[in-house]
Amino acid sequence: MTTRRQFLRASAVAAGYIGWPTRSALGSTIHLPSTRAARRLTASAVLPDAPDPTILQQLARTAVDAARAAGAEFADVRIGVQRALRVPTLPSGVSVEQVVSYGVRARVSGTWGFQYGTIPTSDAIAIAARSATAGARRYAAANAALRVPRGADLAPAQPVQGEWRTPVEIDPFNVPIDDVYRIIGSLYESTAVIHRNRPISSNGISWYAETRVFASSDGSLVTQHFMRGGHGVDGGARMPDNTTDFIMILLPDLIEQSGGLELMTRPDLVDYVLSGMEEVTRLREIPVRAFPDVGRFPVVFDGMTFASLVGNTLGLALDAERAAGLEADASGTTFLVPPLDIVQAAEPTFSPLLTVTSARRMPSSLAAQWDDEGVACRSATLVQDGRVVDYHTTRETAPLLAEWYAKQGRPVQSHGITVASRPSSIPVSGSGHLHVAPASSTANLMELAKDISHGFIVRGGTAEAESGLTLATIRGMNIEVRNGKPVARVPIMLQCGTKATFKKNLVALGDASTLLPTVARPSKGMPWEEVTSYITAPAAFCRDIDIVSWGLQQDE
Amino acid sequence: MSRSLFDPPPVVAPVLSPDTLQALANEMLQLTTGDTAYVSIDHTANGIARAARGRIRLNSSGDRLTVSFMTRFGQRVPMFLSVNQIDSASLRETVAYVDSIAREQPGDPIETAMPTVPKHYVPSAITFESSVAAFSEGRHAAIQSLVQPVIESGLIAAAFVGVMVRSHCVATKQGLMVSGMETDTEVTVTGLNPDGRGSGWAGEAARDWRTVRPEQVSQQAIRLTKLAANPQMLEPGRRTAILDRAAVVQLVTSMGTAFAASPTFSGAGPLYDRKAQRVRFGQRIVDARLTMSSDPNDPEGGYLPFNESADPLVPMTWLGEGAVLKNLAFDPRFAAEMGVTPSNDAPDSFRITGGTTTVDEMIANCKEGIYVNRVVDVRSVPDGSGITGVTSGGCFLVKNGKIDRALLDYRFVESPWFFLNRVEAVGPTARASLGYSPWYRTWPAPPLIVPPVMVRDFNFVAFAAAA
Repeated sequence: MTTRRQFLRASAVAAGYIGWPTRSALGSTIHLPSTRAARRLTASAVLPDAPDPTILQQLARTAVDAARAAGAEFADVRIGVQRALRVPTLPSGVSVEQVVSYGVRARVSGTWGFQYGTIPTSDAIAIAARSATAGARRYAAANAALRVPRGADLAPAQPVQGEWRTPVEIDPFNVPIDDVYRIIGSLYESTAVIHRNRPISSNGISWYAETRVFASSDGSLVTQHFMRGGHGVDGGARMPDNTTDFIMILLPDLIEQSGGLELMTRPDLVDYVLSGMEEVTRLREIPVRAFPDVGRFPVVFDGMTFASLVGNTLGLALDAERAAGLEADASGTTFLVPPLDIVQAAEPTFSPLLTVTSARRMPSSLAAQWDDEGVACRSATLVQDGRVVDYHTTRETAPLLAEWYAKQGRPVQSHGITVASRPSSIPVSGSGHLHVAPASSTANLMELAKDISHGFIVRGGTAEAESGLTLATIRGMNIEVRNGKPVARVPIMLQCGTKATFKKNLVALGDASTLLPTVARPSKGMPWEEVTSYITAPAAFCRDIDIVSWGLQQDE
Repeated sequence: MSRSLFDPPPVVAPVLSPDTLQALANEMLQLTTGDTAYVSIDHTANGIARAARGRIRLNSSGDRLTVSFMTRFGQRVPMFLSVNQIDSASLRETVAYVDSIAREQPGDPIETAMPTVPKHYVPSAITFESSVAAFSEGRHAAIQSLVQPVIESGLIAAAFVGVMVRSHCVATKQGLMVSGMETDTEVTVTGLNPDGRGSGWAGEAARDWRTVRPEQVSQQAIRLTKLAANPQMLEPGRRTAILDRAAVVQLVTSMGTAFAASPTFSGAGPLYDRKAQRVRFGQRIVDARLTMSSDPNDPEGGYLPFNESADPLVPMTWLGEGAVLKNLAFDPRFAAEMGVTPSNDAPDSFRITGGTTTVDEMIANCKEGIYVNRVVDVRSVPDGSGITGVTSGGCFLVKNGKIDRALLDYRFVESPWFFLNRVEAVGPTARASLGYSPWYRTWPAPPLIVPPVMVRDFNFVAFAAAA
């Protein structure tokens, strides 16, 4: 058996690297073969020299100045250098990449023009800025011809200057790639030896670094250096059982977080992964059976499943861009409209058990000091004891709630959740890291299920909603429960009405020990882009969840 | 030939020409000292216009360029690199850098899957000057044409106009050089009734901008939106469904991957007969009226006649007369193993044909059923046996040959391999617009040319929206 000490020795991360000629090319992707020679390199050594942040800042200023000179009433720019390091399990090779891109946004009479590009020169970015402004002016004129009133003013934002850096102890781009391999290898070998030669199934380790500069015509100029990573893009570890009965549980501590390689060198990592594998083994012992019935049943969702349900329904329903109809031909609408009526409703919209907050703090992988509109990231309460009290807003959509904010004595401002997936992406409202407050009374997963005469526990599930977000389907590991005891694993699909589930069907929430995170990757826009969000939630006991039969039969 | 002063100015593409890409590729291949080398260059530009709440709110455009390069010395491990800088100094530096690393790599006993020089690429003509021109001009007028009639009808409009221009080149040091250019365009309109109840969707997509009719798309969306007002509940269940093209196209997108030969021969997918333990060659797969094929020169779609490995993509009939399975897609390695020619990719762009019955005729011939204008959010069901999604943008009860009333949207669970075996009528085929389709990695999705169909016992399992 591999001991913790052996593992630590094997995974120790050495500082320093061998030198390698650097290059001046600005964007590149290098797939390194998994040979010993290549693995001695550090990612930084094989990547081209990144442009200095001062150059990016100068380019950003050039863009803003060019847009203003061309007549934009407002302009902002995001320019960044993105690096990625992906180290899979051997014998696959390493992939390292570096991309430079930018996007300039200009506003004329409330209409946006946007131009993106990848050539980071003063001339190119100035042309992009002028083009964005001309595009906005053109459509502003078209709106005037259509007699459409001009768009509302943007919510004010304090001009900000400064620099922020993700706290990092070990920069994965500055250690030999071989050391990253060792971490994965040690984990793999340790668990395989202990666990009857059934190794974990691993996506490898991925890390992302980015220097992003934001500048706006309001006078903001900020530079942020992000670093995030973990065990695979979505994180987690899984154990294959056999091809017909594949059990996977995601290990929440391995989900992508902000930070350096120190996230993967914690002393209890092997024990932690082993505890997950023991859990898989226990779950395997529950027999599988078909469940042909349909109907409504009580269901206990584990924290991960409830987090996915919140993130893919409620979290999106609170998006003011959806509420404003800006996504009507793309990701969809929301039932939480009109926002002013919802926040001022006499009765709580949801169960008083429900309190939801949003933030972009460490160690969330979305941690930042300022968002992609230069607004300081603040923690915000969105749902308080079942009452909707705020939405995810941008500077464009925050004025929708101006009357409400005035009554509350709060300034009209977004709370800093606007995101551009890439510097060259159009900024949209994200949802930050959502957190559902757990119950203060003690209730773990099995305690929540103890009074169920016939129902289900859903573990590791994911939820998906239709475009209006009123109805969600949930799929996960479904465990049939009779008289509070697990009796079978059943392949079913669950469906629930969002409003009913969060209003009257939510019976109880688990305590803090049941909190689990998940990642949601909904798309927005036309053309669409993924907008990653993270959600942490406790387990939840809900009644009247539909079991849907898909019952397909070949009839020919 | 000299240009007259009275000629319109030449249309300038927002991407580098295929010839320029070839010159860049040649330059890199001449610089490398590797024994084998591969270059792939892609330059894509998108021009987008979006409207929401009856207001044109975004004018967006830009381009992305990627140069991917691989070099290999003898049997040493190859090196891969991508850059987005194409000045001569950068390219020279890039090649020298990759060569220097590749030269030091140890031997690799595994053969690199290098593209072989093909004998023939089907010429394809999928670039249209009208679409290139629309990138800088036509889309601006189109977004107004889409939105204005909807506003004037007292409805709320959301609209999209997209124009894509792309050039692509693949070359090897072994003498292969292939390049091409493509254009694609799409317009969509979503209409919403002022009370927020009932919406209508319409769209068109075409390689050639001249064939796109924004005014007609707008009128169709208006008609459907007005019809969709005050939707009623009707219990879900298995019912006759008239599926218009925008519905069919979302339902059949996954069919192409089933034609990959390697997994089929290993016993996976709907084209393998598990009882007889053989591939279903010669068997009828769907309704006998339907055929399925793909062609780089499809007049309503088409695609570049080579893939990223520079393997030629050739015209292929997948389901022939009588819907009989005629061909599978053998990748070059599997084709060689099985002694099959030619190789091909499983199609992500294809045409399904079969009938002449119009949607109006289907409605007229329907005693009771549901007309579905479009479906969205299509995903596989948990056991992988089918797909689920929801109706959207117009769903109506058809009774005694007429649209009776608007219905609330449904969730369905189906499989194209099943419902295309329950066909009552097939309509004329045309390219269908997909609209928002995040299941596909990027916009635009490859062209799909499909008919509307009337099918019996379509499996509507639940309401799509909750009260």
